[in-house]
Amino acid sequence: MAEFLLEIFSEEIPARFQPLAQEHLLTLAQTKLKKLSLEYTSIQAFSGPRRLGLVVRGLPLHQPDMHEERKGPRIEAASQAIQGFLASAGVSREECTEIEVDGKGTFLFAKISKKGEKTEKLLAEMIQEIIQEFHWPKTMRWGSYAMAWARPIRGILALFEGRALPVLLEDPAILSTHTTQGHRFLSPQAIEVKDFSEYEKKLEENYVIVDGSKRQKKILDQIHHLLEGKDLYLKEDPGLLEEVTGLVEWPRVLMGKIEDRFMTLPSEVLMTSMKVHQRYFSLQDKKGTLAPFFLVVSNMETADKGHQIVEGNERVLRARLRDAIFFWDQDVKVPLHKWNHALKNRIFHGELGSIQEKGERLAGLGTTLLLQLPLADTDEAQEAARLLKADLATAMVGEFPELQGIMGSYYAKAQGVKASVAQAIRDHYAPMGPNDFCPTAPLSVLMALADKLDTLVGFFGVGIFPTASKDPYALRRTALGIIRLILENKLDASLPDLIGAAYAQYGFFKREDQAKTTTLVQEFIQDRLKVYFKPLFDHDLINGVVGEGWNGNILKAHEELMALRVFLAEEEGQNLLKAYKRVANILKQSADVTDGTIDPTLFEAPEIALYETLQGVQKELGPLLGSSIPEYKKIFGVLGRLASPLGSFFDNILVQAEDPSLRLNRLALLGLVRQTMLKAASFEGL
Amino acid sequence: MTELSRSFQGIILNLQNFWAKQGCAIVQPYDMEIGAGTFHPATALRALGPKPWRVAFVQPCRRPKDGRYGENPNRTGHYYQFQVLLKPSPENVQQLYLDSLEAIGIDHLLNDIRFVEDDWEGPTLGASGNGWEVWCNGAEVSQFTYFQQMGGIPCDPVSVELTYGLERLALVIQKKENFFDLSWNGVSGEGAITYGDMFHQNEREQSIYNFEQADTGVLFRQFQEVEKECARLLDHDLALPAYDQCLKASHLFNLLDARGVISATERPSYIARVRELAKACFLKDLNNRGIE
Repeated sequence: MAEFLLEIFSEEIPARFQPLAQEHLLTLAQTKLKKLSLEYTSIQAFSGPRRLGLVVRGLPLHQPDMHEERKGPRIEAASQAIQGFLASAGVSREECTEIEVDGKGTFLFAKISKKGEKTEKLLAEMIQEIIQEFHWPKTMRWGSYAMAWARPIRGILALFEGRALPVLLEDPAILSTHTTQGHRFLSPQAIEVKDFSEYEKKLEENYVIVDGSKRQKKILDQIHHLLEGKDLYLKEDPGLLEEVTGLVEWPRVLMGKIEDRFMTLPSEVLMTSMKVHQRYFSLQDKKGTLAPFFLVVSNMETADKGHQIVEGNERVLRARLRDAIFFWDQDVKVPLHKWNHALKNRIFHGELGSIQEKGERLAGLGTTLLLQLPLADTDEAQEAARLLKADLATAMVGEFPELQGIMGSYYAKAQGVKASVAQAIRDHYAPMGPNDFCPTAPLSVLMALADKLDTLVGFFGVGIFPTASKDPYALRRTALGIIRLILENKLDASLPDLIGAAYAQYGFFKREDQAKTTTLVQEFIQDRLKVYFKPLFDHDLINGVVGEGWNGNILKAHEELMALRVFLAEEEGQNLLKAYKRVANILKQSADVTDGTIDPTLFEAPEIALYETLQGVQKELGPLLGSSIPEYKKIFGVLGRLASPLGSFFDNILVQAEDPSLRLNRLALLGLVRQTMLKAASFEGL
Repeated sequence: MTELSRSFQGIILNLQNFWAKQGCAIVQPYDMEIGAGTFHPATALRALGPKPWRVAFVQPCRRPKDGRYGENPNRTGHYYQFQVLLKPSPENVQQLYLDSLEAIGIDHLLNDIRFVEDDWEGPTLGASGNGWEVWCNGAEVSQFTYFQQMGGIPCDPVSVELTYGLERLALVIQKKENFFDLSWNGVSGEGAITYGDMFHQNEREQSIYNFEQADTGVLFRQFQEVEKECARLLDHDLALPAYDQCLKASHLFNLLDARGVISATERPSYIARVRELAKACFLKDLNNRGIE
């Protein structure tokens, strides 16, 4: 049993590539070892800014010998096929046996035995293959070499059984060794190692923590140590943590101060500037208020305990934040609506006009939507619509695009714009995805919905649809946003109306294309709705309710699904569903077609009971079904009454009676049952 | 480190000395308005072709859009780059770069120096490369790029370009926070000359020109003229004069862009027009140098 260790030593690999590369290396090695029939007890990959590596433990010294009986073509097959088989198996015709395979004919079989090779040799080949086949998100060339890698490779360490495993890369010519290097500055000399545990230990002594998760833990430990006993708490940011873990070999967390004069800036500006430009962590106090300190994860341990590093970082941050204050002062002087002029030059999409035009459409759309959804008054909606995008032209959003909406809201408040409008400016991009905050303030909901409808209808209107692999305008997320806004705010709205209203705002869209676009958009949202419902309801239920012929009311579909789920969990519900299916089957299989006329004088007792119950049910359902979001619980309560008379009908009445008038009459009665149930809920397809 | 070697000019002198010892030809700035050292023919044109090449130079750069009337402490429409091009990229180029920082007074044992992913693209040159921005205590002080393409042509061998942001570096070295406060000549007292003495008025006036006074009609006309002239010179196989016209086109575009008269839709097409000129110049120059 032996250990294999590989380290590919390079110039600094982009932090965002490292987790992917580590995973990829592991999978590549696992696949190749399996193909070579090399078993092992454990395998582990690791990555950092300058190292990508792998350790495999418990490998045999020799590949096991291989014995295989390989099946070939029929003995009477064309000679080409037979020759091909013999060549691939490496045997002669005489060495093959002929075996009859139950009834299918007589086939050639070759016994192949291969002596296992030295693991050492196979591993050396494997390294070459891995380097050749490795896939990076982006590669580069360097020097005069042919090789492409994420960044220049500067060395390879390869060990097997404690000895260097010779591997020679050709272009560039790099011969593997049993040495690596420590930290770039703190310990740059060559380090000899004989196995992984020594590798990890010696590197740690030379200021390198090899394993990413250990580096991450070290960062968090240091943070907690620094904050201990202070009213300071880390503003958690897993993405940032992962990134800084990939930027250091020897993490040293240092704390710097933000000067008071900058603390008047909106906290989002401070945090974004610190994170985006500087990769600093923000801190907050117990109440969640941003604290005037930051954390920087450095890669150095210095004689002055990081004094100069902190000083330098504070100086850079001061310059950054002075910029931010400059932007704020410049921006806040300009009334928000004045930026709209600049938005004429800013393209929403080449075929869909400028952002300013989008704002105008949203003012119109917002007003139309109010007819269906009384969420605000017209003036408020129009004011909001025309200010929603204004901040895109400000200097601050130019610098930090991720602050769109947020800055607009701050500037609006500073300029005395109505609070609800400022809120809508901030909220209207949300929700951006399944876990993002979903607006609830009425004006925010209206604007968020209008913005998304305009986007979706616009792109579909000019023939831009997402494909399975590409969705550059995030139209799936936009559709999900519409769904969440409707469901989480219980909006009773019909998609054809919403889509139609958005379509009407595009002055240059052709009237004759409206029906086509509406169908496409609605089907797209319908698909996303099914995906949204998938984890919540049974597949059949979803397809039954949001299937063909769905009317486009998302809230209604949701209410119906919830009620159906409850109803069908009970025996009564299951019985009624069974009865419905029986009714539907009889109607489908019957050769006769009724015109629906029912003659009660022909009824026998069970039919009378059913008919009377049915009439009662219909009468009660009438008003219940009149509202667009029906109270399904009550409806199912009423429908449930049909179960028993239906049961007795089936027990006592023969639908396919000899007398055609009886037969037609009974079919008409069942037709009425089906119609009544379908009107109430989507039983078809369940 | 003396005051003199920490001064703006001291940094330049030390970098020149350092790279001269590495076998670089120390050339002079290009005598035209350009937006980055990369445009210097000693970089852009020489990054192509098989012949080894090592140069270093200071380049004054003009980016009209970055002008801030001299009111922003660290953004200006005119600034300096120190540019090094090494072809092919040497094995120890990172170490050479770090040694050069040491030579201008940045002790790597007291500072936190990091190589952070930043791939470079020069759309008007059709150029791209992979590399990093180099951070010193969180300040971006250099751009480190392995050129992969120039004018859309693959670079083979690959050169490495080191671009030092001289003002940013000087801030770190002199522990200052405002470009205009930087010591230019390392003299204190009466004979002191600061970066502000040298350039503050220039920033103010040039910003007024860039954002308010530049005559856009004239600029649009000149753009068309130099574009035509570039094509005409290429027809006469004059790659280098044609490239000068291309540089003029690039600067005229930058001025028009700063004046805000090029809409978002037109912008890419202007960039593409300059890129087409650049590509044609690169190909012609390779041809004139006898390289296929």
